[in-house]
Amino acid sequence: MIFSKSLVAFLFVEATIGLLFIFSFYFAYMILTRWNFNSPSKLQYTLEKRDYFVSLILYFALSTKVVLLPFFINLLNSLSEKLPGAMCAAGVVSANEYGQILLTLKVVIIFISGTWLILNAKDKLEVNLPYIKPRYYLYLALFSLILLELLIEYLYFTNISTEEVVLCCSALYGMSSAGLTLPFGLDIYGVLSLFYATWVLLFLSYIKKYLLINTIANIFYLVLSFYALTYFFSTYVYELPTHKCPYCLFQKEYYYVGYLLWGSLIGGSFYSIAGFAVAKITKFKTDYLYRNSLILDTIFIAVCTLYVVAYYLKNGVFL
Amino acid sequence: MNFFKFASLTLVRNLSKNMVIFLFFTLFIFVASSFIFTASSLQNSLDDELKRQPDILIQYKKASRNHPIDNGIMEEIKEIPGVEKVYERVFGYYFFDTANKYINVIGVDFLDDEQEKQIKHLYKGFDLKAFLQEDNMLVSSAVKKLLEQYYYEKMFNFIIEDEEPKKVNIYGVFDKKANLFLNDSVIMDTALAKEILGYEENEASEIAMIVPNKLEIDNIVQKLLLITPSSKIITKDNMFKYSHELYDYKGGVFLTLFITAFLGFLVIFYSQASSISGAGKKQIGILRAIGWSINDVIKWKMSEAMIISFVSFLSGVLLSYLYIFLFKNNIFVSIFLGSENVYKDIALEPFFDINSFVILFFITVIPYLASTLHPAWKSSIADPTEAIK
Amino acid sequence: MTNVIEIENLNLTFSPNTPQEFHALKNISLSVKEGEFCILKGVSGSGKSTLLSVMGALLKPTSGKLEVFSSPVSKMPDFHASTFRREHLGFIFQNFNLFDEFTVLENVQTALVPTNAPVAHMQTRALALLSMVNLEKKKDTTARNLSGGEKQRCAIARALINNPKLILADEPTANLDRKNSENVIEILTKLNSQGTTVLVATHDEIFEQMIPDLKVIHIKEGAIV
Ligand SMILES: Nc1ncnc2c1ncn2[C@@H]1O[C@H](COP(=O)(O)OP(=O)(O)OP(=O)(O)O)[C@@H](O)[C@H]1O
Ligand SMILES: [Mg+2]
Repeated sequence: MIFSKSLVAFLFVEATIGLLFIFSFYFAYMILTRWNFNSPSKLQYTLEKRDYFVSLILYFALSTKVVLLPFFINLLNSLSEKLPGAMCAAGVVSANEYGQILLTLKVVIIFISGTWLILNAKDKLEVNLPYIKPRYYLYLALFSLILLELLIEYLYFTNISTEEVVLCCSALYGMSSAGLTLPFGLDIYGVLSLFYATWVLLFLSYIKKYLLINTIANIFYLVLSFYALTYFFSTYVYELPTHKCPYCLFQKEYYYVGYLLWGSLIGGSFYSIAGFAVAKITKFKTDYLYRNSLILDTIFIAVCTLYVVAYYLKNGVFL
Repeated sequence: MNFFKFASLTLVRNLSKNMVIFLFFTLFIFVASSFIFTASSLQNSLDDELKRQPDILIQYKKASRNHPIDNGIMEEIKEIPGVEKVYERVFGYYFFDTANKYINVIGVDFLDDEQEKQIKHLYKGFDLKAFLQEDNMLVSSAVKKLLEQYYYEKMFNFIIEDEEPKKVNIYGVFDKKANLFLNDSVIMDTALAKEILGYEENEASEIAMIVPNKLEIDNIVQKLLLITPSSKIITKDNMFKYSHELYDYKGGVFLTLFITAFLGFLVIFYSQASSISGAGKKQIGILRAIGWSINDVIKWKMSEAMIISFVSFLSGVLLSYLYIFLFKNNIFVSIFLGSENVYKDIALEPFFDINSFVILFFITVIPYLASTLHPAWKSSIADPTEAIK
Repeated sequence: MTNVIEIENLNLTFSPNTPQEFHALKNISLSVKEGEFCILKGVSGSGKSTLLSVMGALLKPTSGKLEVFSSPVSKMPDFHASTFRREHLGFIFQNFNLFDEFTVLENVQTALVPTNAPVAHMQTRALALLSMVNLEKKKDTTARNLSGGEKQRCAIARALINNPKLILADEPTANLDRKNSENVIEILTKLNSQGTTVLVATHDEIFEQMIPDLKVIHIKEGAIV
């Protein structure tokens, strides 16, 4: 078990959110099973009011989770000080098998609760709350994920040993690493070409309003970005050809640019996926969500490219 | 007028009711924030001090207590490649029995540049020649005060077993900035310190060395283990790690206690906030009748909670900043450093550690807001016909 | 002329299927036309306030049809009902129901808070209404320190802030003396002459004395007579 002030605070806030969800579960369950919009009964009227409580909790949970995610990353970075061998969050995340799952789960939870809130806002615009069922099925999924997240958090932090030596980022992502390889059997230039090509596809599918294509391309973009950022662009941020790491970007030495890069990338994917889900479930147009997605995706690619260009202008060569 | 403006109006106009929450909240923040300021300032000063320390120390422990170490091994250590310099350090407690207090006697080799540099910044206009001519010492302001209580104005007589008392002149008082670490200390020449502490010529408290290339430290430690297998070897990294762990641990324990106490406050607050008064119900009935929705009432209530918590948070932090860094010898320093020995004359260096305040924000404001969600919703669904009855 | 309010066979039972069951509105059918000045008359406990609450979408009926401006307000979820209330209705109450600690101007603006209207717009709109009810000199007075008549005029200004087409008033003159009652009725008549429909629940004779073409609806023990 590892111990620090930040960790105590983090777990406390996570537990608070979990508690709120458990608190709201009964209401949600009642709404799922007893909802009948056309009934003039007192129960139906009560359920309508309870819907506001569940929305309020989700709104609170999402806002807190969004603030908590960078804090969590920062926590991982600070824990690396206590783990022998770790230089940044990369080593802490890979300290046991739960780290990577936990990070993914956190992003998924933010995606789902964000979609839920957009759906909720749309639902309230209608005169008969037609999307309440999909909303509460989504709630059920979210509720299970929140509980799962708490469990994994518990397993993750209790299974970090402060004695065992963990791998540092150069061992995980560097030349000698055997674990991670580039996808589809591509070399790094293949990944880069595909990365830029996907952005063009994003742009065109937005202009042409091929929304399904846009969403699929966005998921693809997210995956490619991970590799492009880790194995290529990050070396330009660190200005060191051998330093490849997606986590060191969050450190002060690099002006916390990781928060901007990862934030825009995750935000871009979120808006596109939420835009698709909301358009599928409701009859509302979600163009503005796709627009936000494209803006964020573009910020990501622009910042990445700028690092390379700036390095070239400064040094006259590429890494 | 937006919800925040409206909320601030309702808060200010019902000041007496909200004052209690506000004061309690501020008090909680004040205590926690004072603790954080003290801890992080001490930690920061400690880090600064550690940076000035030698790279490797060798101590000799017997039954886990420091024991004099034979300085003969210095010759051998000098030969290890990578070691730039080796020197002995002498320190120890002298028991001043009339006052029933301990005085920390530190010996310094003033002819060594390295050590002289460390002392120089403690005392302005230090004249080395004059100092070494006789038995002189530099004392801290706290020790000076202690000695004056017993009428030792210019000198002090150290009692040494089986020997004549040793008369040492008080050369001066060193800078108060050093009091955090040297509050109960006196500094004198190494040979004199050895005499007072009862050390033999060839004994020292510990052996220190300077290693310019940090990459060689691990190697050197291995070689030192061969030379003196029974000694304890401490590297600078160990010192940092140990001090950080200690502070993080103390901080974690405090945090856990604090959270428990704060939860108590929240429970009381929650039960108070969930019972809505008749006047409160009427207010909400009026708002609902003039076109506020359930969500609007929730927004208003949450704005109130945010204003209360943000204002309390900021005032608590600000007040504690003033208290900790403007007033000397506040009680929080005693909590950290203990208060048994000599009178404390310590002023903390202002230091602001953002991470600690993000933590404080997370464990106070967020739970507070969480505890207002249910009361806010409950009042928002109060019977809207209340205004018409 | 179109019907502003249309009610058919409306019933409302408090605490149904319990020993406290109370049938407060029984089979009510009525309609109010655009531009009418209408009073709802009945003794205490006859169900006037209850009927107004139902019309204002503050209370859901048990059965029957209710349309206000052709919208089925009783079937709307809260967000729509509240928006409807804010945009189409103005409520005036017997005991004024001002926020006592707020100034006159703040009270009037309260109804605009959820609209996110620009501050300048709120200010001009509120001041215009205060001058209409002759209260602009008192705009910075705390509501608690107003006289009864002034309080009711402030409440009227608040009810008018969103330019409602229907005013629902529950015994607006019951706590006022003759002089102030006349004053309030003059304001209401003036609004009515500009096209606003007015429905007042009252047992005060003064309305019948002052208003020539008044429509009177009698209610007794929850039923129209
Ligand atoms: N929530 C409720 N539960 C049970 N009974 C109620 C409730 N609200 C009102 N009533 C009953 O409904 C009847 C009608 O009440 P209402 O307030 O509409 O009368 P009113 O005509 O406005 O009388 P007044 O002139 O005194 O204001 C009363 O007998 C009252 O006791
Ligand atoms: Mg009444």
